[in-house]
Parts: sequence; structure tokens; C-alpha cells
Amino acid sequence: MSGAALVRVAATLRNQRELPTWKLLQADRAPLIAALLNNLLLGADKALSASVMEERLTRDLQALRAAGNDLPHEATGYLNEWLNSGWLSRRLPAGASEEEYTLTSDAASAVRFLMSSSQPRRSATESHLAIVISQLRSLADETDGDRQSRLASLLEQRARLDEEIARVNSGDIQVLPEDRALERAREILHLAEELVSDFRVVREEFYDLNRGLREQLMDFEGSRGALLEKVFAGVDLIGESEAGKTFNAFWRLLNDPEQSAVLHEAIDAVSSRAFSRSLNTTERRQLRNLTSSLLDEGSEVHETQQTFARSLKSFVKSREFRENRRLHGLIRNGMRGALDAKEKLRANGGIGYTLTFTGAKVSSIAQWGALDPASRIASTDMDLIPESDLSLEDFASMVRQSEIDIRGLKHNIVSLLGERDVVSLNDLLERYDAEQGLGSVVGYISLAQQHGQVVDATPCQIEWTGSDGERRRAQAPSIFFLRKDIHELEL
Amino acid sequence: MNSSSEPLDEGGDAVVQSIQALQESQQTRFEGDTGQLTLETRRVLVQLLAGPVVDGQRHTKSWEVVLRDEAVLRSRLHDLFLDLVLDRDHQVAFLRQVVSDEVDVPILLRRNTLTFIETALLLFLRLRLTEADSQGERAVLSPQEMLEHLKVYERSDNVDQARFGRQCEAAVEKAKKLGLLRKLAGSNERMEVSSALKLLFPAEEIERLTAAYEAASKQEGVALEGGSGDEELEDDA
Repeated sequence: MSGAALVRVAATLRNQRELPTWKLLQADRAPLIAALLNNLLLGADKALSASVMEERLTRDLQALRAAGNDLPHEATGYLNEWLNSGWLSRRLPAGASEEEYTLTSDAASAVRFLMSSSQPRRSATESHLAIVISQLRSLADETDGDRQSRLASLLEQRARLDEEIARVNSGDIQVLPEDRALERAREILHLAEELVSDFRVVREEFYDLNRGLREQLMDFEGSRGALLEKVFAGVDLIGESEAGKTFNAFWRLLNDPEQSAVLHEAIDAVSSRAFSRSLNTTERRQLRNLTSSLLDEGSEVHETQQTFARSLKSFVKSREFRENRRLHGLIRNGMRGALDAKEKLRANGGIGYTLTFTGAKVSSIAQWGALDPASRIASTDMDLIPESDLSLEDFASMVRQSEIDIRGLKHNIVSLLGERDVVSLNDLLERYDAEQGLGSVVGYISLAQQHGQVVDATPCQIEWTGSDGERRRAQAPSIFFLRKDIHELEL
Repeated sequence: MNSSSEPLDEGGDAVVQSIQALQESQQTRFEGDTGQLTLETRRVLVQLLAGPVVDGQRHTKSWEVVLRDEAVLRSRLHDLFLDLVLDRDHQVAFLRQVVSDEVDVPILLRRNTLTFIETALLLFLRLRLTEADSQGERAVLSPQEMLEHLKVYERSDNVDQARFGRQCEAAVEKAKKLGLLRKLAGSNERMEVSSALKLLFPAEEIERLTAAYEAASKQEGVALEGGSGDEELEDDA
């Protein structure tokens, strides 16, 4: 490397230190932060609603503190810190009632780097090399314009195939040894995982692109700018971007019926091989869900791209950006006016400005009740209250009955989850008495809303026996608790 | 068309039809009940009257009723010299006082006097809404951000900072009460700015407010009396 190039690289890296990725690696509590972020947003969930995020983070913080780690702040404190550091992003998705947290791609790569460096290093494996060789070969072939050498390469391939066919015909079938097959399978899973994390980057690029385009539209004065012309001409600016093109090519391939059939068959075949039994449960599940998880993540990106393209077009078409620009100016103007006037005004004084209230107040003489002076005079008589024959235990049971015994219900769910993966409301009511009757049922449903799954679309019939021994029946939403969420229920 | 029904300019047939349909299914809900609407339509009518807004995202059931019974609700409200503002895109519905030069309109919806700090907050919320709009996002903010922003409107000779702080907090509370801010689920404090604010506080109103500021700064050192921070209603007339 020349001296100048070296200086350039050093300068680039120095700038990178200010970026979220390095900042995370440098943070005082980097190990704890990375472990938390990994646990919260790099596992089964890629996005968490604000309430779930706060709850889980609080739980995780407690677990880390219990193990002697120093974590002085509450969950909200850390969430704010991480948002400010650019490790988390928070958005209110259209139609949602809660904000949602996701990991930024910068933070995701930092956490992934830390996680991978703590795992045994992947050595230069045979499958890595095989991938490089085959990729190089096909690159060389596919960029070769020379008829002669192209033909030679094809003939060579045919010769190799003929040889192999002859061998298989003679009954000499070579099977990859188990350890190498396993290594290949893991390599493939690793690649697939990287694909999924690429999606995150693409989605963020879409967000940035969308914001950038809208900002340009807002700042842009005059009506015939290149940007506007493009949007009006129907050019899909987001789809035409680098990120868009790469993603679209991938998306087409994934949705190509022929390709996906090949993928499905291959997954089925590999899963049925003897060696795949040596994969651990997580790896087996990853393999089984390979297509669906790629499709899930991909469709989310696809959806984002489509939404942005649509809303950008309507933003331009409706001329909303112009109206917004005008409003922006007017509001700024108003704010300046307020600042100019502030020395003359009291904060809670009127300024002669009124806004129409949108609710009507009805008042009627009928609302008036005559005051009975006698009702104001406290009675001086004292009634003698007969001594109660309630025992302390009776009181305790009354108190118990007055509140839903969530602890007890959680206990039931957890013990039943010890036996099976999924537990429904009916399972619970069959196994345990509804000690508080309807109260217990309500308790289960409310717990399911927090920690389980509620399927409103398919109500189910439930029956229970209350403390009075009566059998009751009702229709309730279908609810399920899953063993994988058992930690949420443990007391 | 039923000869006894009142002819209406637009959607008249629809109103008549829906009233007839409702009459068929009419049930007396209480002693001496002569109302003609179904129970849920009546409830939504009252909800609209009580204000401030019916929000399609929050009041999903009421919203459906508003959309379904728009014609009949509109007709009943016109009886009260009120107009139904219905924005399907932003999913909000609220009432507006009918203004007419021809007839003397009795006023049911009062104008609400806002204090200086409340108007400053109103502008800030409107700004955030515009900004979020141009980003294609929803406007969410925390009370801290609002209070931070309001700080710049404190008089330089103010000696009671605690009091000013309380006044700012009261302004945020009032914005909540007017339905301009709504709390988000899953957070103790983050709030969404209602998109109804776009309709309630349009460009003309912003200009009117700016003019009010200008008038105020020209006044020679006299603080205007009026609104006390409490909810104070004044006649429009």
C-alpha cells in the first residue's frame, strides 16, 4: 500500500469511529449491551412493540443484575440512550397503536461481529473453497465471449458428467462423508442468515431514500426540477436505486415458481438425509424454515419498498408537498411572531386568539339539584355495630376473591407448559378448577393478551366449574400459550 | 318520496330511506321514546356532540357507524346548525358550527380562548405534524420535547420559573383534553399528534394567529387580559 493510500484508509477508519457500529464496540458496557440487543432483537423477533420491548428489557436487566453486573439505569433510560446512539430505531407503523423498536443495521453488524468472534472460528473450510472455485469457474465461463474456449469448457463438463454417470451406473456411488456434509449444511445456513441480515440493510436504505427524496421535494423551489420530472414520468425512484435493483433481482428469483420448487425439493431431500440428524434442533429448524423465513423477511422489505413508492407518488401527485412547504413557512412565521411578542405577553394570558371548540356543552336547568342543607350536617349518633363472626381466614379469602389470582393462574399455565408445547384455554379449564369462576377465565385471557396468542377470529366454546360447583359455558376468543414464551410467565 | 319528509339538497333520498329503514326497526328504548335512530346511531350522535373528535383508529366501532349513517347523522346535525366534517383519508370526524349570512344561527359550539403558551404549543404540534407528513410518517413526541420547545417563549424578566413550568404542563394537558394529542399504547408518555389538527388548524387559522401575535407585539407593554389558563368559554358573537 502506498503512503497516500495508507493515510486515506486511516482517515476513513477514523471517521468510522464516530459511526454507531464502532461506538457500540467502544461503549463502556459493550458486552452487556451487545448481549441484551442480541437477545432482544436478533433472535426470533426482529421488531418489538414498545411495551413488550420495555418489559423484556426490564426482565433481562434484572437477570444481568442478579448475576452481579452493574446496570444503574432503568429500561427506559437504556432505550433512550440506544436510540440516541443510533443502535435502535423507533417507528410508529401505519395503523399501529404502539411504536415499534428495531435494531439498526449498524448495531446489528456490531452485535453479529461480537457474537461471531465469541464462537469457535470458522477455519478455511473445504466448502468455502468449493464455493469460491465454482463461482470463479462460472464467472469465467459466463464472461467468456470466445466460441472455441466456451465450447471446450462445455465439452469438459460433459466428459466429467459422462464419467460420473458411468460410475453411478456401475453401482459406484460416492456419498459425501457425514462430517463434510454437516459442514456444508452449516455453511448454507450461515449464508442464508447473512441474506436475512442483508434485508435489514436494504430496508434501512429504503427508509433513507424515501426520507431523502421527500426532503428534496420539500426544499426544492420551482416546478420543473429533474427530480419532479422523474417522479411524474412514473420512474420508480426507489425501485431504480442500487438497493432497489439488487433487492428486486433477489425477490424475483425467490418468487420464481421453478426456482422455489427446486429449493423446496432440495430442502426436503437434505432434511431426509441421515447426516441431517446430527444437526442441532435450532439448525434443523432453520433448515426447515429456510424458504418461509426468507419469504417473510423479503416480503417485509418488498412491502416497505412498495409503500414508499406508492406514497411518494401520491405525495407528488397530490401536490401535498407544496401545501406542506407553504404550511411550513406559515408555521415558522407564526413562531417568529410568537417570539417577537413574548416579552409583551403573559404565558397564561390571552392574545385575542380563539379556536373553535369541536364539542358542544349542553346545560339545562334539569342538571340542577336542590341542595338539602340537612345532608351537609354530619350525624352525631353512633350506631353500635354487632361484632362480626368473620374470622381472619374469611377475610383472607374475601380478599383473594376480590382480585384475580394472576399468580395462581400463571402457575397453572407454567406447569401445563411443562408437559406440552402449546396450551389452550380449554386445556387449562379441563385440568384446573376455575377457582374464581369467570374471574379465572378473564385472568387467562388477559394473560394471553400479554404473553400468549389471542385469535379473535375463531371463538371457541369453553366450560368450567366455578367455586359454587355449577357448570358454566361460554364463548371465548381462542387463546394459546407457547412453551417458547414460558420465561415470561415464570414468577 | 314520502310527502311528509323534508326535501334535502343532497343525499335527500338516502336520508329518507335510512330513516324509513330505521323506523321499521325502531324500538322504544325508554318510556315515551319518540326517537327514530337506532341505539348505536344515537350514541355516535352524542359522541360527536360531546367532541372533540371521533377518531377512526381509536373509536373503530363509532367510526363504522359514522361512515354507515353519515347521511342521517348529517341531517340530524343540520337540525342543530352544525356541520359534520368527515375526512376519510385521515379517519377523523368532528363538528363545525354552520355559518350563514342568510339566517341567524344560534351558536352551540363556542370558540375557545387560548392562552399565549397554548397557542405556542398549538404551532409546535402543527409543525411536527407537517414535518412528519412530509416524511410519510406519523407524528409522535414526548412531553419533554414539548416543554423544551415551550421554554423559548418564557419572558426574559420572568422570576417564577416553577410557575412557568406549570403553565407549560397545563398547556400540554389542555391539548390532550382537546383531543389534539393522544397517548400511545405501550408507553407511559409518548403521544401522537392527532391528524385532526390539520383540519382544525389550517393555513388561514395559522395566519390569523400570526396576525394576533403581531397585534400583541405592537401593544405598548400591556399584557392582554383574557384566558386564565383554565378552560374559559366565550361567546362567538
